[in-house]
Amino acid sequence: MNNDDSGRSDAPAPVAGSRRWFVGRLTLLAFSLPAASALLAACGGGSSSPPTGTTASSSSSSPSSQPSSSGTPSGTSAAAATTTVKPKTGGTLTVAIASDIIGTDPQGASAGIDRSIYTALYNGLVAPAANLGIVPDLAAKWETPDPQTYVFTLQPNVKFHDGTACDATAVKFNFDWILDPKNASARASEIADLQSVTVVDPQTVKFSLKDVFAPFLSIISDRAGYILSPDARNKYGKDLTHHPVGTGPFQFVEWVKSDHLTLKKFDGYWQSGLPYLDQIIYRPITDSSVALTNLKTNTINFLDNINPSDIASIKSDSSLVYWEGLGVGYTGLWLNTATGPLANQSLRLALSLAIDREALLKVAYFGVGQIAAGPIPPSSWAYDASYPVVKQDLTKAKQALATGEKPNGFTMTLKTDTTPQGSKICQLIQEQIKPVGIDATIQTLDFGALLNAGSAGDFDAMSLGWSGRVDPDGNIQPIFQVGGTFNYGKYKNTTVEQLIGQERTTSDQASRIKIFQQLQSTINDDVAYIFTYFAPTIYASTPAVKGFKVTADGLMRFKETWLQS
Amino acid sequence: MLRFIARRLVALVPVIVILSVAVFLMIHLTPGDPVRLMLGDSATQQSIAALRQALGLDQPLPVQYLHWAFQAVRGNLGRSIVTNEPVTQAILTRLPVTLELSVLAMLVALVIGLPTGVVAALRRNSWLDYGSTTLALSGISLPSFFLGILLILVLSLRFRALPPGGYVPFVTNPVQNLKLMIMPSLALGAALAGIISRMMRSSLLEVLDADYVRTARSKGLRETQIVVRHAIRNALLPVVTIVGLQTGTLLGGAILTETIFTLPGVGRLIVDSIFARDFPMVQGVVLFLALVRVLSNLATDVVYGFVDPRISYSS
Repeated sequence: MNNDDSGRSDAPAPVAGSRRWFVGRLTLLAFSLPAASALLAACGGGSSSPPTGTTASSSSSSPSSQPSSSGTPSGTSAAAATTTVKPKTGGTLTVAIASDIIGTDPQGASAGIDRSIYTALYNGLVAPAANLGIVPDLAAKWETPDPQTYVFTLQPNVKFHDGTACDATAVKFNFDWILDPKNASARASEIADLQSVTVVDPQTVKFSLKDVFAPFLSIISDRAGYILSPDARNKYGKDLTHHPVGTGPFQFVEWVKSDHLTLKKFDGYWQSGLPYLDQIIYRPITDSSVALTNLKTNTINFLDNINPSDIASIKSDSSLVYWEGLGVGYTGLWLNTATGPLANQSLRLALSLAIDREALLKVAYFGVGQIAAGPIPPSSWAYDASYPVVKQDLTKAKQALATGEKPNGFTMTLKTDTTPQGSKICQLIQEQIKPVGIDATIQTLDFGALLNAGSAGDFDAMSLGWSGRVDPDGNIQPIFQVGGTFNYGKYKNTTVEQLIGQERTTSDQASRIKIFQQLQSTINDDVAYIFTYFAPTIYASTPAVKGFKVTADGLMRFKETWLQS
Repeated sequence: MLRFIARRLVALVPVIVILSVAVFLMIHLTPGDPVRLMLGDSATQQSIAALRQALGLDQPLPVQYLHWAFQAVRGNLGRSIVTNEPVTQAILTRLPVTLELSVLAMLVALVIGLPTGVVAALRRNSWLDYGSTTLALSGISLPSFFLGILLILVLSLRFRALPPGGYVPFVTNPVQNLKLMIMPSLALGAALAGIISRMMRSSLLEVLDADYVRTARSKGLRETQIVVRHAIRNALLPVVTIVGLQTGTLLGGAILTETIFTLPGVGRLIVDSIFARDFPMVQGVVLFLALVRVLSNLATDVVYGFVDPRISYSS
């Protein structure tokens, strides 16, 4: 693994690996199949509360063969590079994305990849920083007079691409639109805790929450918080998805479905001097090897869809640059804790102890990335590097089987998606657990069918990851709380319920870290999910691409990217 | 002839109805929920219910089918539930890409298949015959996606001769358009070239043994005249059948070829729509492709009349 210097000293080295390499439609969604690792960026939105200083600079781009070409390097060479080279303006960046976007309207339905387009078109009041903290964006600053109230002071003179002003009224308009039930916005449930938005003066806007809700800022740093032109919304309604107007560094030119989406530099961008690029063209190329060929032949400059098995060859190719940073999601096995053999905690423990995570990392992920110990990824301020990963222990696994009154093992189904990587992981696990007598039958389903099986609770174990959110709450609540949308395993634990309630209503970050660590231990002790892998965020580009920063949320941001001719 | 065409068109109606019901049921009964797929991991029970209602997916299936069918009869195939794009518009914007690909692939198939087949028949059991047979069998047995990847590796990556994928409309830049289309049409046309070549060979061999060819020879006609005027013309009939029947296959092959070469055609549209469970889009595109298929079969029957005067539809 290469030099990833993830800032915090305790952070286990590198991550790396695959990332939503699997094809298009999967990326559509938000989950990550282990396989494809897909951490699909699909959603990961939120971001954490303030940055706590540490900074796992998730951006360690390790430009393997080309140290000087890294963009954000948290590495030494890179730092040097950024200080000496002055960014050039102009040029067209052609980016291969793993699937076509669903739309450009963040307040409507969206796929994982769409979020990387939003970062170019829109700004929110706040944004996630590279280190997962929350930093100002359209809001120059904010205050919290009490834990349920946020008062934002807006940047002056910000214009939308259509020339209208982005002021407090526009901000209120957007949140009101999302909350209006007749618009059926896909974001409505994300900001359900928002009581009201009040315009104090043109530069000041006040948000009142129904209750204390610690992840709020992280939620509005993502899709729910982007500010769109009210004029465009009034004019186009839901068809805004074909006529997006925001305040972002790039403005919409055209979207030819299945072929390309073109954005051009917004000359009136409020941060003067930015962006550097004249144009970005996003091209959906679903097959990752075809995409790589396009990169090698310079038909594209930037690649978002890498097969883990290609990483070694990318690193060794001097005409390519490999970018890598930490991720926010995790991969592993969803377990049905309500019915079937795995409703028995001892049998879940036996299964977990029988799995050799080291071997999975080596064989399925080509050694790139890192073994997961729990739901909180190394990029997070709540990450605990000292928390141990589960090691394979067949003797203990057999003991657990005996405790679970199945000393000779049991049979179970293991469902996964149709990617080759998905099958590979499940076959490895199937072989690993056989010696203790656990007999798994693998069933492969396409992604849509797999989601259905999940929400219907029709599985014993399911190989599927979570794309991750920047606030750790988003990595735990949907999956482990009773009634959580992705609580596929029908998991129920009163301690977990209480702890989730506490972390959501505690604003102090140090206290939240303690609660999250308790949550992590409880979930793991109960084997509510088998954590196996943290996938990193990885990209490949041509050497001309400079100034790019890898962020753990997996979204591509090209505001400060430039091309060396 | 007109009556024949009219009769065939009327007979199409039940075919289309049955087909539309079958497609509707198939896509709706496939496990997978477009709403969950669209909302991804931001889904909540409320947002799922709200979106399902907004899209009319909470209605019983027969109601949904009838609603769709009534609109379809009026020429309105509805809108994509994923991108809100009108289905008809989606098909029409992608159709030129697939049509160009199919026409060029057919051209490739004819240009390669006919001469090799003729040469193989005329030089039977020579190295030319074996060579063309090997070529034809390779074309038939190599899947189009595999051949496509091979072509990209060799022509794009190794020799940097052609761009590995993408699309530029012909009217925007004809040269670039054709450059981009060379590999896809080769990949797609190869199998058909093989089939045509084999068909041409066997059919021509049969004709060359026929009595009237012997008669022509005994009249002292030159060999070229015999082959071109008498033999090939008659040997073409089975080839025309194959070409007609393969038009549908070309459209099917376009699905893979368009994916490999990232062409924004109808094939990509249907694949993407199936994965997203975009019901109206899948129904619309399949209906459209089925129409193309039955109409191309009809066209084949009509062309028979011209190629072979013995066939008449007047009765």
